[in-house]
Amino acid sequence: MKIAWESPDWPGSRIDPGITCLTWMPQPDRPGHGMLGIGSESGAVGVTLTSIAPCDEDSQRYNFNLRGHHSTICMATWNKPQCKLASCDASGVIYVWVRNDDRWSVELVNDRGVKVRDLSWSPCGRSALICYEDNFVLVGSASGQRIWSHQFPAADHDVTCGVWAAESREIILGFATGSIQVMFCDGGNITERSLCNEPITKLACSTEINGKWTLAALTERKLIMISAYDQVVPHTYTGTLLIKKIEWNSDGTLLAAITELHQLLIFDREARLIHREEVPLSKDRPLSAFTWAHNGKTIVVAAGGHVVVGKRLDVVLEEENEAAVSGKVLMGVPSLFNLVTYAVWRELGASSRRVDRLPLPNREKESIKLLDHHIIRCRIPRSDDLCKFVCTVNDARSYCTIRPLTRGSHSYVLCMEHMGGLVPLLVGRQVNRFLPQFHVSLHHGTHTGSPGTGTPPTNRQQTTIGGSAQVEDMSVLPRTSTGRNSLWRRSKRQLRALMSRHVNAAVRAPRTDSRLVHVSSNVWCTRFQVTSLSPQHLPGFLAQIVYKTSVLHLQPRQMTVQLANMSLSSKPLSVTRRSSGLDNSSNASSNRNEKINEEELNIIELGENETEDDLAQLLTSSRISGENGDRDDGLTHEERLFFDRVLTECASLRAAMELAVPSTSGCLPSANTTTTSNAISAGSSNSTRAAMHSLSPAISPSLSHSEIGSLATSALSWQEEVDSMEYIDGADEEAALLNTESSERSRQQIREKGQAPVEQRDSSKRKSTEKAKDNEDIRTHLDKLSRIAAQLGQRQSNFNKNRDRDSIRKMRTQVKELLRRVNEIEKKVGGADVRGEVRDLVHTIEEMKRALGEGSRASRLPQNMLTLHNKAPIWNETNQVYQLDFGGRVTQESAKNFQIEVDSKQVLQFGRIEGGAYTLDFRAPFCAAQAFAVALASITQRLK
Amino acid sequence: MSNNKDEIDEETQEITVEGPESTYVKLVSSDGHEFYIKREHALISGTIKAMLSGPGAFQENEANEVNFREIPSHVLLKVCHYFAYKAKYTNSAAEIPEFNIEPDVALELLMAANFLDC
Repeated sequence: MKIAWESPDWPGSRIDPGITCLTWMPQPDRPGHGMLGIGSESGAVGVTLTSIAPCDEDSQRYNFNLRGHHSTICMATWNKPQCKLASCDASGVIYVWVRNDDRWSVELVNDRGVKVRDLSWSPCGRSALICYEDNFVLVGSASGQRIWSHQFPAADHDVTCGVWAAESREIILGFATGSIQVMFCDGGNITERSLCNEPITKLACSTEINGKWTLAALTERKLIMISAYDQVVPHTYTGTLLIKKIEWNSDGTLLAAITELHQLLIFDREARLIHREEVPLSKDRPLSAFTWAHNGKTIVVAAGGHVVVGKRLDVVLEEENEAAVSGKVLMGVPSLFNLVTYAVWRELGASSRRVDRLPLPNREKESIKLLDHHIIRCRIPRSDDLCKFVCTVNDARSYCTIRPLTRGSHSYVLCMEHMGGLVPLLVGRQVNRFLPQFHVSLHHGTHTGSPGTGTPPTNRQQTTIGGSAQVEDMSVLPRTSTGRNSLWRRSKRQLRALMSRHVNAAVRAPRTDSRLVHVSSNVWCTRFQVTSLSPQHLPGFLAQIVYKTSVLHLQPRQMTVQLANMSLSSKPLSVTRRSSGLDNSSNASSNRNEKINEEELNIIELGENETEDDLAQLLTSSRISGENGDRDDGLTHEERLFFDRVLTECASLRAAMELAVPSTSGCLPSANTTTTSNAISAGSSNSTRAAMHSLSPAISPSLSHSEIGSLATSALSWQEEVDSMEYIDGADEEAALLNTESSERSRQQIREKGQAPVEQRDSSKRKSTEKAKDNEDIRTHLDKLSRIAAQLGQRQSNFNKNRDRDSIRKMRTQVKELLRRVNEIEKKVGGADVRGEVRDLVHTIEEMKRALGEGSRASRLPQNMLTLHNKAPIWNETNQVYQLDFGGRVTQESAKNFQIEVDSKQVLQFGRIEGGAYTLDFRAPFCAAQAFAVALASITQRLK
Repeated sequence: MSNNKDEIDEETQEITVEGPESTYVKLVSSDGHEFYIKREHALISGTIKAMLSGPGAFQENEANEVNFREIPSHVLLKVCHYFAYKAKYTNSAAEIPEFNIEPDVALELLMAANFLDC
């Protein structure tokens, strides 16, 4: 007997919270594959697929976390013939789970209101035996009918455990007196005998092979085995360690036991100890569960939330003929080749990463690499790959849970579901107390160990333990306190972490900013922007979510997600792609009405927000405009949009002026209009321009409307506005550095032309005492600007990159100067009406700047966009609720629940479960970071 | 581990190493060391078994001697230890001790084990 332990430090080896029981059965239709049933402290039941040999990556679902129990699971056991899983929790509720296609659902619930001591399926799968704490013993059929039950007298005759005999005809009950009673399953008594004089805590009956079976009875320190009920002298093993759990292997030849002090013991059928081994698990918690798997070839052991798998080296690991196995004693000595392969693999640090450096032939290398295989399947990334994992899309669906960082907190953790527990991936922290703004970053404790430097496993283990202790804070589910987070232990951990940091200082990569994504919203929470904070991992613009509000929640929430398509490189999706810009020219005007209002609010209150959006959008927009081919007139599509935008702004500003001017002084509206038309006709007369021209009247009322609004709500001082603008300007500087030529080009040209207005403004300052003149001046400037804008198209050709690059800084300072002077004008003029105009002018300048820099968010989204909508729920007339099929993943009704489909295939679903937590399932075209951001938006979206 | 009983020295004259029914066989390492081990132990190796019984291996069959041109003595010694270990503990009801493999012979032993098919 020799057990080769899988590397205990693999991504799926640590989950939270702990595991209380394990049980395994083979997949009936796939040899070499199996299902591991897991009971969790949280009350969740896990079903996780296993495979004995490495197999190809498919998009199959590997893990099911089944929710239903409300307290810790204490027993879980497979009904192998019928492929059902029974789970029993600490309060005595028993669920029977059954698989239907790709979901597991509850088939039966048994709740007698009394705690359960033991639960066992008959080997034939037709009936179950339940022993209750009040000495009530029940035999029920798999379909839920009672076959037989008996109430044993209390106190002196406590039933402590019960088990089915090998051939499913008899049941064997163990008593606190140390005796056993054998009965027919319909209640007839067969025999009764005493095995010892201490309470029997557990019975285990082996399968029957060649008419032979063995019954093992466990007391506190003794293991007693009989192969016939009338065997005179039972085989007995007396140990020094407390045995916690026992289980026979599939052919009934070996009994494994876990004990205190992390010992794994293996016995033969005569209670002889044939193997003893210390399980390589962290000593933080005692061994809590184990099971044989893959027909006795592997063994899975858990200590709390830490899992390790051992493979028997002395048996051939391929699935072999059952008939050949049976009868043959499998225990023995592994081949020298297997022994040495394992020894070499251990020397390499339980990983074959460096095997290619060894002077070995290929077959040896391959066999060493095979030891890297983990039989428990999962898609959880290694800590080194976490960043890449959350930033790339995957065709395989990810099943995740989002839970609050701490109870009631507004920061959330995205966790992958695995083995009934959770493995944290991302943290979304709320960074604004009033608005839903989040920074999404990689989860702590996953930043341990630098890749490729071969950090000793002990170090890594320590740091990960620190990580899992932190997780304890987040736990929203009841768990027993282990004192792991006491101040003393915490500081010890910190000290250790500090030391390991210093020891590894030379090889450690510098700790980088792990923030990945920024989620922000407008004040109404109707529109959320998801942008990147980490340009090397993600494109600047990631997603935008727009909610259509409904009064009083009368209608289900409608959302539109515009998603940066991250899967383009792999394979194109047949989804309507948003061709940026003017695709919506028909409803542009109506859109704009909203947008202008919203943008104004954003500018005033979300200064910081805006700048980051700007930055992010610039990054993408510049990339995309770089890709765009030139059109016939030498302008790229993006540039033309800039100019159109500028033109519209000028036109609308003029319209606003016309409204304002008559009130102050009798101007010449006719002259005004002529210049407008001049300005516009000066531009190249292509069709889009014409379209914009026709749009301008529609825009002007909206502007004047917003002007009134801003005057009315002038609680914010003028100075503040300028401040926020200065900030935007600063961001522009940053953006400019990252920007590519195309957008820079246009902006430079505008700025260049802006020099002239600056001087004129200077002169206007001198004449500031006369309001009328001021208005005249402003109008002149406007004319100039519009003319400039119109000329831009023609100027395009004689653009000189180097010269312009030199002058860009100068121009920026000039724009600032311009702002300052406008401010001064405003101060000197003082009059309310003029102030309104100046405010308008400043807005316009700002708008223009944005238009030149990156355009409005509304009209210019990057090109590789997917536009997705949530699936409309079905109204259930009888229950008076909206419904969607969440596949059992959502347990609470909520307006926040939603699903998104692409090509009638569901790609994302989000819904509420207990404890303020949510489930989130997603696949391509969503990457984990995008899906989490959309979920955060949905969590915090308030319908108004 | 003290299973050196296979490396016989003083008892050689009593033991037959000739003929197909001999109880012992001789393994010779690349550096000329000779190891006399029980035939049944040697047969644990699929390669040696084939060499001693196969039709194409007449010379080895007659002399009950196998020459390994690629296995040095310190590795072959370890292989012989393994044969004894395997013979002793297969189907044993006792707790099996660890078969210790020193890291400095591990790679050579791995290749030898692959070659010997054991």
